[in-house]
Amino acid sequence: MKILLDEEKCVGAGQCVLAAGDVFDQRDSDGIAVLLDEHPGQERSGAVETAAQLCPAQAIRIEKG
Amino acid sequence: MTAPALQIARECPYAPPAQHVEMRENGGVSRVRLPSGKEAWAVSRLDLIREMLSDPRFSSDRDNPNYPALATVPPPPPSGGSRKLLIQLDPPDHAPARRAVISEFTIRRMAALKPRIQEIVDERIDAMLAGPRPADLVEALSLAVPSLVICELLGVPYTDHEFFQTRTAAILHRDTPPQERGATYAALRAYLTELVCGKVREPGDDVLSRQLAAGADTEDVVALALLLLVAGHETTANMISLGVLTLLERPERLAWLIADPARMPEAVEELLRYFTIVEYGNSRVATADVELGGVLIRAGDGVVSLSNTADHDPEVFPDADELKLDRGARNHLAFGFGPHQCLGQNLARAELDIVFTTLFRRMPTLRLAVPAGQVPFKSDATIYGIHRLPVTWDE
Amino acid sequence: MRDVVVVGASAAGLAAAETLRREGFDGRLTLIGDEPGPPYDRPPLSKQLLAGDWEPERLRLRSDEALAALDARLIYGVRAVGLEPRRRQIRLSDRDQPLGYDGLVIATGVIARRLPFGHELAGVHVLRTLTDALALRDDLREARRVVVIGAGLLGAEAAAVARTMGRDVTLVDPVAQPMHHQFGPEIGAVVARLHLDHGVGLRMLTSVTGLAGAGGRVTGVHLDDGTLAPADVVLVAIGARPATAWLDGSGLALTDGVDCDQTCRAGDSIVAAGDVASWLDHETGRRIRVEHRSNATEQGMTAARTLLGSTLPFRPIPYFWSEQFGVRIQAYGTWTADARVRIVDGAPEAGRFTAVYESGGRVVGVLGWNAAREVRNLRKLLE
Repeated sequence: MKILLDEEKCVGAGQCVLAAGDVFDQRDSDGIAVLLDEHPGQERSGAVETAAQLCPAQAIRIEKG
Repeated sequence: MTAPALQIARECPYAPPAQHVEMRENGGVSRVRLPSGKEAWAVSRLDLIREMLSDPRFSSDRDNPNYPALATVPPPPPSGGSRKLLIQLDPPDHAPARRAVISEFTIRRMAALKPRIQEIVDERIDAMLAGPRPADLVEALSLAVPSLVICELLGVPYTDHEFFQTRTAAILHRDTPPQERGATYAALRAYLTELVCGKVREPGDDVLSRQLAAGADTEDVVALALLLLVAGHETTANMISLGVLTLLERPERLAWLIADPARMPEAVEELLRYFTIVEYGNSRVATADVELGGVLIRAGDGVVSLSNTADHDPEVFPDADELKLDRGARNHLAFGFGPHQCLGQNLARAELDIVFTTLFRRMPTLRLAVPAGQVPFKSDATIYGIHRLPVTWDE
Repeated sequence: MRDVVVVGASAAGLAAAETLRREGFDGRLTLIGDEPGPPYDRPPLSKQLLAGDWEPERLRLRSDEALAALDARLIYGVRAVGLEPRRRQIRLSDRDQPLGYDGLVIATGVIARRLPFGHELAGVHVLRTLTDALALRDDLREARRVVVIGAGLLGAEAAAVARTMGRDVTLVDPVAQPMHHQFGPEIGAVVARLHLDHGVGLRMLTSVTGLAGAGGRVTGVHLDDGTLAPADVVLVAIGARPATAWLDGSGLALTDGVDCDQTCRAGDSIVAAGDVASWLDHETGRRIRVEHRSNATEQGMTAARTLLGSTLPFRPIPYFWSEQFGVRIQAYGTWTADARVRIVDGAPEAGRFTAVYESGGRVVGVLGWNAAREVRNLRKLLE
């Protein structure tokens, strides 16, 4: 599983951090989301998919495999 | 053929109006007549509302004459003066404006604020316990907490809290006559302008000072302060009141909930979905012809989102009209969707969590002082809530 | 630029005119349409209007007030018959005097293709304009047996409407499955199942060799297997060709409609948009022409901005939707015959699914069958 995060789209709602705090974080300087783990293990797929679904800016994409 | 008038009032506090449900079940995009007599579209399905709110061809600009304003909105959207408020900006202006303030509302920043919120909540509960019984929870707690937290964020000196609170309350009170509300806005704006100018000379450790330090001009910062004030106040207050009422009415679930503080975040999320109090707030105006749900929305058409109805769709949320504190569904529209999704949502979550946890722990005998049927709901407001919530407790 | 003429008063032309005004163009604006009335929306022609659920008024794209606010000269019922780019003039069907411009938007759309025979018979229809749709609707009221020639988007939708009205309907096409060109064989088979389940007679892999008539009215359709499909109404829905006859000899490139560059520019101070216009895809360099509703609006807006000096390429994610027998199909992307389709979620038997089309290791299209919510999420794969 590979995660792609579009920082340009991010609006800093923090939904991804709430859904998967071990995969996403927000930068202190500007509040924009950052990836802590670009290739999280399969056991995180549920949380990561929730994050992608909740992201109001639809800035998260997941590539399977 | 004229469209049916959009029903604004809720018939029941816990469920959307039958008219809205019917519209949701008939495709989710319906023609309606607004209180102003103008026609607009009403969108009542979650997927379609999300689609609309993600689509830059729908504008948030409340100054657009075709924006589907509901005439009975209390309070009116504050004017940003010559500056547009964040909530009414469209691309490409919106992203940089929002980016300038996101860092103030990150999860980490809100976590750091929690001890201070806890102090504020404890102080208010101390005051309640020391005061007369019964008390109005709305005034004693629901409005007071978010108001004080905002003072904290904006860096309003403690000595000015009372001025600040009475003005805010007057603006938010629905019975305040329009002229008085206008005058109060002016007073508040004057106060905030002075406050901001003071921070130019003497910066503090607060949102406004940091905005100034980052290069924002005073007028922008005043507009931001007004927006944070109005957006972060009535909304959270109403959720506190509705949440307390609902939990008091369900003692078994309340007992289950407070048995483990770790259950609270999910319960807060469910309360947010269940009430979706900003039910008409995510309205838009189309700037191009756009197909939505099989219907052509024409450029210039207004679209009202019926978010509460969407959040009660049994296809999305099984047994949607039931409150399930452990539902664990966060894909609701209580904070909107798209680039304008509530900036202060994590502040609201923190406040609600701390208020509910602390209140029921410290006042275990808290109960309604009137029959539940007599609680006055804001049934005709566009932000749903409770006017007064008389409560009492044992010493 | 002080004088812009928009030829074509449907979705693309209107979007261009409105965008010009919104982006600050305050010169003279003229909008010319060859149909008799103000701009209207075409997708409902083969859906709600044909079914009798909606009346023409509901198709109007803009109210009189909104059109007045455009502050444009609106000329209806007039065709452009020639273009002289060097003189910056167009010729119109109703006057000898040419019309000058210093900016031109071509949005003349497409014209329904006809069979080489049979159109003189009463009961034989095409479906492109409001007039066409109303005539077909009138004829369907009295009809018993309807043959639809062509099982593309328009033909499949019209067949579904006629069948829902209780008519005997036969759908004929030389391809293997309805909507084969739009959806490929696998999803085409699902469309076929839908039509069969509702009692439409499918005659796939079958060509039409002639029309039979008596007393000036159609009585049936001769098929290449030697049979005759009886009919008292025939709809010919075999596609459309770009309305570019008036541009012959103008010097504009017309290999696929009006050939444009990446920004919808077709020539000196000339842009084109909508069904009539092809453009060079920013990434692949391929020439694309799309005959869908939302593309008309988006391309109209880009064309207007190009005319005003923008150099941003036109990079849409094409989108279209269809409704047949209450099923709502939505599709994003542009896929080709070599694309492989994969069901992502749900199942055709369940009446609800999503699918992706992949080509060269990339997702080139996504499709939702009664699955608006899901297909919207899949759309991200195309960005």
